[in-house]
Amino acid sequence: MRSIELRILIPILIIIVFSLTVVGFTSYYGSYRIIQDLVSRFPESSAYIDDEFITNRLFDLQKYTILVAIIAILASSQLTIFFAYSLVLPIKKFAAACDELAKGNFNAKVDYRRNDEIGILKNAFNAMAEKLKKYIDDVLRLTELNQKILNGINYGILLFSKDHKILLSNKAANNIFETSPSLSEWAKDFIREYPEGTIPSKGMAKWPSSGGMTKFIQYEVTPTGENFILCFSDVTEEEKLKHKMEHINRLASIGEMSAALAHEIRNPLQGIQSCFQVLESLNLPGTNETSVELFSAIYREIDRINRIITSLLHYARPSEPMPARVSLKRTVEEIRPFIVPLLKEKALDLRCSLPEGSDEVYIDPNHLKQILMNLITNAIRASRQGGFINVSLHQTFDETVICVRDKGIGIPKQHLSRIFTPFFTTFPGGTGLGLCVVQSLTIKNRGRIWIESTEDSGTSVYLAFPSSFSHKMSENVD
Amino acid sequence: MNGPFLSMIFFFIYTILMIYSARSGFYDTYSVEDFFVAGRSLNTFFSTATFLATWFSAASILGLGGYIYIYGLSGVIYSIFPWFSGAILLVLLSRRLRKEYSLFTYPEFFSLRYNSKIMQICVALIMIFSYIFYITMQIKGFGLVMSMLLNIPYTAAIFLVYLYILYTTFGGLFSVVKTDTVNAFIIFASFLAFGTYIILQNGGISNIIHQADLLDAPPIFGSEIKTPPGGLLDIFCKGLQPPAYLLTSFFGWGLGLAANPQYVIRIVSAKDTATAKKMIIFAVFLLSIIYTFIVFGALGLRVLIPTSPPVNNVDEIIPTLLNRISPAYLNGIILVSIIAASVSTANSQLLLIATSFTYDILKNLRKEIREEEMLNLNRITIAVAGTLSLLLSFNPPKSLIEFGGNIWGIFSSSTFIPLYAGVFLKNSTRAAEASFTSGLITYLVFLLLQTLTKITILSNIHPGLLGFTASLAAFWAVEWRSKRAKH
Repeated sequence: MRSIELRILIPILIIIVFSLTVVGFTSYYGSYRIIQDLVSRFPESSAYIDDEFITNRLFDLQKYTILVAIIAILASSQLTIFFAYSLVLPIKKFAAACDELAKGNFNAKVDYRRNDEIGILKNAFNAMAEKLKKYIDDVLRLTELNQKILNGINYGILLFSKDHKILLSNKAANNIFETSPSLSEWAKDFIREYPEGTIPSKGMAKWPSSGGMTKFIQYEVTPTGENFILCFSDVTEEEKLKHKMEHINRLASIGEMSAALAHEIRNPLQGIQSCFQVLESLNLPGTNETSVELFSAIYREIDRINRIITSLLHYARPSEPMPARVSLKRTVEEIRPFIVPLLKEKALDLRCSLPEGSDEVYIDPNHLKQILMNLITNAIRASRQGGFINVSLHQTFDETVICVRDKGIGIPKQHLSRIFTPFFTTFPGGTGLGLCVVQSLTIKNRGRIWIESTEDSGTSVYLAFPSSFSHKMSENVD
Repeated sequence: MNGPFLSMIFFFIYTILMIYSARSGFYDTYSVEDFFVAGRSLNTFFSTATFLATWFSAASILGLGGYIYIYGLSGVIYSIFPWFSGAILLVLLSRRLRKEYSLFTYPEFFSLRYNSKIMQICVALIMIFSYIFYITMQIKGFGLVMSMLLNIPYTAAIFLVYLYILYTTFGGLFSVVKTDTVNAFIIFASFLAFGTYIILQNGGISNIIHQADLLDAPPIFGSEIKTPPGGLLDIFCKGLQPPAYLLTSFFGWGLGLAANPQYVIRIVSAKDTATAKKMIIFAVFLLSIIYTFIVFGALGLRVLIPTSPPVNNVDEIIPTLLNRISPAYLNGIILVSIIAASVSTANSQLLLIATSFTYDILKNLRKEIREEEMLNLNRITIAVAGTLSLLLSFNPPKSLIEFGGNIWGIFSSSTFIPLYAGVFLKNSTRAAEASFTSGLITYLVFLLLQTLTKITILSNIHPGLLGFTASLAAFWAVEWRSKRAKH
């Protein structure tokens, strides 16, 4: 880059050097011609004119010419540089500020004192930089706002061009791609194929992902001039939930039917039991031991059917809850007598780990008893000889969480997904309705239930109930 | 070709080089930091070049050369050894100074470290006075040589060097550094040429040593004292140079160099600590090469011309003899190298005068000085101080090397202990102020005694020894007292 200073300085220096060279050469050549002329005109006086004297005089002349030239050059250079510097420095500062501005530093300012055109230029530049900074700040603020809006949306947004380039993506899209790389592949594939016109602009896409699962992606494309906006979201979970809901609805229908059926079975069953009791009371002669055993076996089976029906009815038609503040410790103590024989059988200890101050749960007391009975009974069944079962409680921000933990055999991983299915049991002689009843009552009391279990290490059942007094129990959660 | 005319041609070329290099430095300067410390951005090449060129002054060439011509190798003990010892101390200083302080000027250290504005102003004043005299010495040295070799009036010669010094300083440290780089090359090449020529004239170094060992002539025509045989190769010149003075000169030359503001500023202006260290190490290596050639050149000159024609002072010996025996081109080269050495030292000192005056004195009196105003004030100060030195050089001091020694002695006696203790120890402000004051006063009083009484015992001791001892004693005493008071 040629500096403005060089445009000023070099010509001046060339002029000075050239002028001085000309002066020097002229003085030298002129002196030489003068002496030659002198020698030729006065040959008779050459005896008095010494050659060396003339040469030395000439050299002296040259020496002083150069000395004067050096001093002149130094002095004039100094003056020239000062002159050029006064012009160049503000321009250099100006150029540096422009350079800073070009690099994106909008705080760049020119700082020098001038009252001439360069001063006007400085003021204009500073005003312009100020305005530019304001505009850029506005643009940045808007961009930031847009970005915030984009990032606030919980479905993925991609802006892509016709030549398959992604121009912009929001946070949700990036998160989806990070957590599920297969969706990133889908998006690339989609962007590559969409401009060809082979894909509809709205719909649901299925995409195979790792682990043999299928991902469901809901998408919509909006053209914007040369580009397209693709809005998409991973609806795999919703799809699963939908399928689950359908399954639950079917189960609910079956449950309703089963409840009706159970209700219908109960009366004849009572009748059959009464008939057998009559037959037994007749005390016919020849009644032998076999008859007695058969009668008691009939009563046992009738009783078992009755229990199943009762559980089924509890599960299918739980009573409406009447919530109140219930002490968990007191409830555990109330049910303890019923489960002591079972505990003693396996030499187990039932412990309560409750926080200081409050151990209350907002729930129907009878439901809580039923829930705890079922869970503790399950825990006893799953436990080995010795050890303990722990009932604990802790408060979160808006929930009270109860945990029933045992150190028993645990639930195999493959069974975990089926534990709430009616009639599914891993205990010999179990009805497979205990946990279903617990789940049904928990939901009825607006709670949540989840289970953590490791095979051979034990199981923890968590129940979370709202702490709030204001929740209405009128809503039924199916 | 006529010798003076050829020298003028060399001069003309040198002028063009100076104009170009100073100009490019001038336009690198945007801020006070650029002007004072070259934006703390100098790389190893530029740092080494400026360190070397600043180190080399007229005293190094004329004074040392003349001294070795008369007293032989004792000159190495008297000056070169102390100088190099000082350089080692500078290496030790460089790391912590760079790490812990961001200085603009040398006196600012005393304000930052000891929070003492008084000390800052006093050090600035010492620098201004010392350097004005030292620049005078440089101008004089060059003026003498130029008027002798070119056969031009002394006034014209000193006016020329004055212009060179002003021109190369106006642009700030960038200008000084860029011209120093050119000067360093000229100094290095010309003294290699000088040494080589004299060695060849003598038929080799071994021959110089052999002949110098036998020499027993008076060094200067009309001198009553003869150089004793073997004296030129003896470190005490067979009794002509008292050991006490030679050994105590370390406290003037060595410690003075270690506390010299010029080198502290060179450390500060290097781009980082590693560059500052490399600068000193490389420069000392190159200097040892140059000194080797100067020592053998001066000894060889003594062997070639055992007795110099009468001269006014020691500084005139080398140019006078060179003018007699060396070819015109070598005279021209040596002449340019002498101006290079003078300009490179003087411009650095002139810049320090200006920065100390504006930053350490004026800024403490007037709080608000705008950057542009500060730069202009510095340039005005440069012009004033330069002109003052020019005026003083019309009636210059007697011996360059002794005068130089006095200036370094002032720094070793006053600022050495506060500077090094400030960097390496956790001493108090009062100890530093006491050390500074007592060292300076002792040095000046002893120098005055030496000058006025002319007692032999006193003149055989370098005043730097007493100044430094007083400074150290005062420092230690005040520190000990303050520690006792704490206990």
